[in-house]
Amino acid sequence: MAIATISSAPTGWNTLATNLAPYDEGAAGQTRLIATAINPADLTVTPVTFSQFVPTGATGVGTPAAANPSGTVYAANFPNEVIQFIQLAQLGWGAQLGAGRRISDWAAAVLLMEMLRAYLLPGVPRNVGGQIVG
Amino acid sequence: MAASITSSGTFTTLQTNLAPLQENQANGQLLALNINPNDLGTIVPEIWQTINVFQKGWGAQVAAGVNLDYWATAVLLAKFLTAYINQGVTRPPTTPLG
Repeated sequence: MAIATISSAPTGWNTLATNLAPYDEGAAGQTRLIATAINPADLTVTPVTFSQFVPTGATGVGTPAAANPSGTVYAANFPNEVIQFIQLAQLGWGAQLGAGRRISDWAAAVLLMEMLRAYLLPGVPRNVGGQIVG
Repeated sequence: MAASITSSGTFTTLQTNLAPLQENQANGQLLALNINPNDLGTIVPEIWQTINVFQKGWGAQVAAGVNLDYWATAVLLAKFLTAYINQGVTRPPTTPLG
């Protein structure tokens, strides 16, 4: 089974246009991010000629592709890490269907989004690592 | 210290019926209503592992070794996923793995 991995090693992470400084985990007076504070440039998905990240090769992790077989192109600021995150979930949960299977990118994205929405529900105690407790 | 998450090993088994969602099938689109509520009642560890990876990855944009707040990270990820889903572009099956 192909294996996809995403690492936090900072090399190569897309730089976001959103100002992240107020959300430093260790900062005093930290504020909570609301959706309107996200720079729209980070969320833009547009059918133009920017490179797209498609799953290729043995890793299954997105790599830049000049050709665009899927017809979907992401804006420069849309992080390829998010695409990799979706692809990783495609593989990880696809394995539930059989070795080497993948669920669709749409299904993976909807599952992840709904899980994140559940995670963000207020009033749930979390430890310092953000893991829900109790 | 870098963190990583991988598709190797075993992901948490979901109770949602994933069979109709297999890639390359015609009906691979999942509606939120079709997610088994049990899958949302307990947050699977892959979610907070991923949040932790992104805390570090985007936190490095603030300064070396900085973790972004987990809440901010989760909001960012949720909105990125929304943008990905809402683009309104029909996509044929993606390239099979090599």
